Amino acid sequence: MRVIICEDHALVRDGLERLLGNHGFDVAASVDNPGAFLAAVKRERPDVCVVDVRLPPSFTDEGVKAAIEARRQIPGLPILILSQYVEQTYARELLTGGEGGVGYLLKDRVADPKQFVDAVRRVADGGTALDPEAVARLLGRPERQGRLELLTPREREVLSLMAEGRSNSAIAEKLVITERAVEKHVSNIFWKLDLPATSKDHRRVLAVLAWLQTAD
Amino acid sequence: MAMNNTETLDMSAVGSTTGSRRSIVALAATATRDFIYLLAVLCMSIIGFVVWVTGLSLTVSLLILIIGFAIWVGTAYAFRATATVDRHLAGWMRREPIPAIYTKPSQRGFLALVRSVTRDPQTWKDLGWIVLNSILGFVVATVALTFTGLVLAYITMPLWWWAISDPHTQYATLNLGIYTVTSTGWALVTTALGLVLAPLAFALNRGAASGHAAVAAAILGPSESQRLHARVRELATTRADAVEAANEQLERIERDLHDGAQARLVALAMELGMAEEELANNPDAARESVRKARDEALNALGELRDLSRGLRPALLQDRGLGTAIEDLAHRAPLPVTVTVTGEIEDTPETVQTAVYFVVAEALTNTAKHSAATTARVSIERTDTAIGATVLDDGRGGANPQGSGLAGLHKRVRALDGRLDVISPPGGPTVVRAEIPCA
Repeated sequence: MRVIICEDHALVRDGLERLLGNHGFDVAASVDNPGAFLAAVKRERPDVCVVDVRLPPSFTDEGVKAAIEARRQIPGLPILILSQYVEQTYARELLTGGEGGVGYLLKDRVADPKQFVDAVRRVADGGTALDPEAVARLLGRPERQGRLELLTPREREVLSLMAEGRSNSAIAEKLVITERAVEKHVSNIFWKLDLPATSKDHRRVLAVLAWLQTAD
Repeated sequence: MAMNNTETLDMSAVGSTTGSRRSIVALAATATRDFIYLLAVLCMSIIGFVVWVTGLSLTVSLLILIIGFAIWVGTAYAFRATATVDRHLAGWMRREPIPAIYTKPSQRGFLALVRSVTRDPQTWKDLGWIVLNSILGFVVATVALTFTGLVLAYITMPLWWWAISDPHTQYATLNLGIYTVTSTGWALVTTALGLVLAPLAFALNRGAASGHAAVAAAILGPSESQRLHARVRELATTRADAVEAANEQLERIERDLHDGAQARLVALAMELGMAEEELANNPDAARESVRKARDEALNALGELRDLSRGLRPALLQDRGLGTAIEDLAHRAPLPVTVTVTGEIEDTPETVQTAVYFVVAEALTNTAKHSAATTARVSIERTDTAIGATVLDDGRGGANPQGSGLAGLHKRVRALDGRLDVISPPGGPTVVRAEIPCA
């Protein structure tokens, strides 16, 4: 699997190259600025990209802008964004468009190589990987509590894991319940939140997010 | 104060002849000063008359047209120029400069300029002064100068009386009203009369000049409310600057954290994660990862330490400014000598902190950019202010608008102080801050 890394801190970039290399990724290019990233994406057509949010020249949200631009040029290009902070606005901007293959993780997640690599693979396969912290914050916002109060604690747990991009089997494994039980929770959630049920993993996340952004 | 004391001592120590000679010289100097001042007042009263009559009549007659507004602004600036000359003259006379406070237009554009000039109370005070001066100043100066001229003519009469010939008698005579000067004898009598009148002329000039200057100072100087307005404007600016400086500092801290300690901790966590994976089948690689992780932990610690020192230098709080400056000097990569005069430890804490950062930034710049071989830091505490000077022997050319220096400038200004950076190309560089404090 071919990956492009865009990260301006040499230390972190080297670490990511080694980490992904150790897990069988082929690092096609490793760059430190948005311009070089877009050029490399065009040239290499990678299977997945790992991009830092803060990049030169202004060190604000160049990574998000570069990711959106790259996906405009190559629709559906899987991109995992890494950030020191979780900003809901960025998550929404990345997910607008409705295609999968998007991830948004805190940089802290690289401390667990296995989970991190799983997330990269999930994004590469067209799934989503939202950071648990981002999900927790989205679900924890008081003004959203109205509809969410209808959910049982178990259903909330399932919703969080869904939003992180986990499949039903992964959720089942994590919560130590059967896959059938998960399916039941999921359809309950969709019903309680008035969401049309769909089959694809990332559609579920997008639906949840869309609801979170618009509902009052 | 000290000067006056020594002068008095000198006077009593030296003989009375020298003393009186000295006082005669001083009297002559005062008289000359008054005379020159009154001459200048006479000129200015005439110029002022021309300015106000022309300016006002043009403005009033053209005000119905748009151009009248431009003429009005021009007239107001002509008032301002005239008043500025008068202000300098009176300041010179009183040996105390008269401050000028004019409102600056708050916005750009012609209308804003018209409005600000018209609303500025000083414009109207200037006009009032110029009109008053063109009458009163003219009269006062003319009377005083005519009398002085007369006295001088009397005193010098023996030198020139013969040059005036009376057309009726064909003899050299001069009619003074009471008597007629027809001989050198009479001329000498006139000299005596002139000498008697001289003190009167002196007193008249003295009174006219100092009185005129006092009225000028009262009208042309800022009123209490103008002074307060100006002060409020200044405070608003410096407060905005202080807030901005604080914001810039916060941004810098966030950037430093993000680029420094946070990035290192991410790398550290990643190394540890990889080490955990490698432990089972590749212990050597695991050991290498752990070693790297430890290095990153130490680097992160160092960066956090530098950052916190940049926020609130512990030594400054614990031991005061003197020790903290010594510490800065020791940490600088070039030899730095520190001189401290006065009781600097009494200085308010905010002022000490500002001084500390001025010295820290100046020394950092010296070390980074100046290629200097030595630097000198001197801190002087007087009763009313504290000054800090950092001088290096480097190549100069520092940019006073550079971000570090600009931030310091705001910091110092917020404390009513000033920061000067003198750094000609080729050096040397002097950074000097002075902050008032009781």
